[in-house]
Amino acid sequence: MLINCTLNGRDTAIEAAATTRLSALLRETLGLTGTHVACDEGVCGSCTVLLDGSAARACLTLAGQCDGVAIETVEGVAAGETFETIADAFLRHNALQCGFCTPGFVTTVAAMLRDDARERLGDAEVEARISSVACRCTGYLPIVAAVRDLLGRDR
Amino acid sequence: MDDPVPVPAVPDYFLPATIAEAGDLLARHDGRARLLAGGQTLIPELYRPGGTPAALIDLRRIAELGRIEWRADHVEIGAMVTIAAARAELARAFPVAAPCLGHVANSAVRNRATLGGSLALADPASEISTFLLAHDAGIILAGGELCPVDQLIAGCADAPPFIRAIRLPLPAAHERSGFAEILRRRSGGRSLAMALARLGAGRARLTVSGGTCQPFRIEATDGPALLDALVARSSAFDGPSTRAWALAAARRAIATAENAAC
Repeated sequence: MLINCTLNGRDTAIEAAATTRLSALLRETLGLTGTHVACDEGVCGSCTVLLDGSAARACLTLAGQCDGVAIETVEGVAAGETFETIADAFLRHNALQCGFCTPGFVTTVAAMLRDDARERLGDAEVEARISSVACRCTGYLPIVAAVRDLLGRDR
Repeated sequence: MDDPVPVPAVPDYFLPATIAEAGDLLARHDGRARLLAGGQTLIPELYRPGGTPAALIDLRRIAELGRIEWRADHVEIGAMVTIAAARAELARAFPVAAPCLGHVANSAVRNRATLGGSLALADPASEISTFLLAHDAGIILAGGELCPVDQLIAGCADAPPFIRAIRLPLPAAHERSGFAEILRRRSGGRSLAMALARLGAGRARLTVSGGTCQPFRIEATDGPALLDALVARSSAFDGPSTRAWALAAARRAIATAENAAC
């Protein structure tokens, strides 16, 4: 099946079996290995990408579901304006250690910053979104601090 | 990673534009096709041994399934409305929707998972089934027939139904409600037990699920009477710890409802 989509801002046509997972398509076919894969069940969040602007698990998305959709991966976020701010905040707060989960946080946080600019997100919503990605190193407190810093909120 | 990308052997993938077209496709495959809603449960299943159907029928292009329509005494929500969208849309009329649906999986999954898909697969530890049962939802099937949610859940074990929309009667303005869930981990963890309490004038209702037990409803005159009734029904649960967790969830849900502003 030919998948017509926007990938990191560029109109793209990809030939793929409709039932290929988006995570596999990105990593194996397109070489976009920033999208990490661990659980393949939607629990860990390392493969989080943005579909039409909303965070979604690439491992729980089929290629066929991407026809007509705007896909933004961590590589797309990294090429955008807000990435430097996100990276600075994560470094300043020691919000990563091994880094495996970090792409999932970067995409999740990028969507959070855009959504918060449209309409202020409640603290509970911010925490819920942070906890949608599993980090085994930091114990989350540094990540919460980095995100609150990015959103301009008190710790 | 030199392993070949595993692709389940699904030869056919359909994107019908109407309910009738989807129904025809389903009938033509005679039980060997699966309906694809958000895919948050179905996609991992496809990749398990023996989980491969002959065809997938993706419902996302059927505009009718994505609508939410408010009426004087009920709201009708299309089966393909995501949990995230339903949670936001229902928040005002159903104060318990935000905490209850906020417990579904995690925020990224809620952006994709749909009410209809979750209900059709009828996972026993489901906030969606609990919420819908607690609110006396009627389920409109693809052919237009209306089925009470408890009957639908009971029938889901045989074959997932093709759901068109969910009809929710609006709660009375003075009703107070509360939801509580016992989890091992806040996000993505399996639920141990959950309870939703609705307290109205002279009528108190509790919907509980725990472990592998599908949600069920209890009715009494007030909160304390609900707890007594739940103790009497506790043999429904699959073990003493589930019974204890279910009671804990029920106590908390009732306390939250008692505290809620009218």
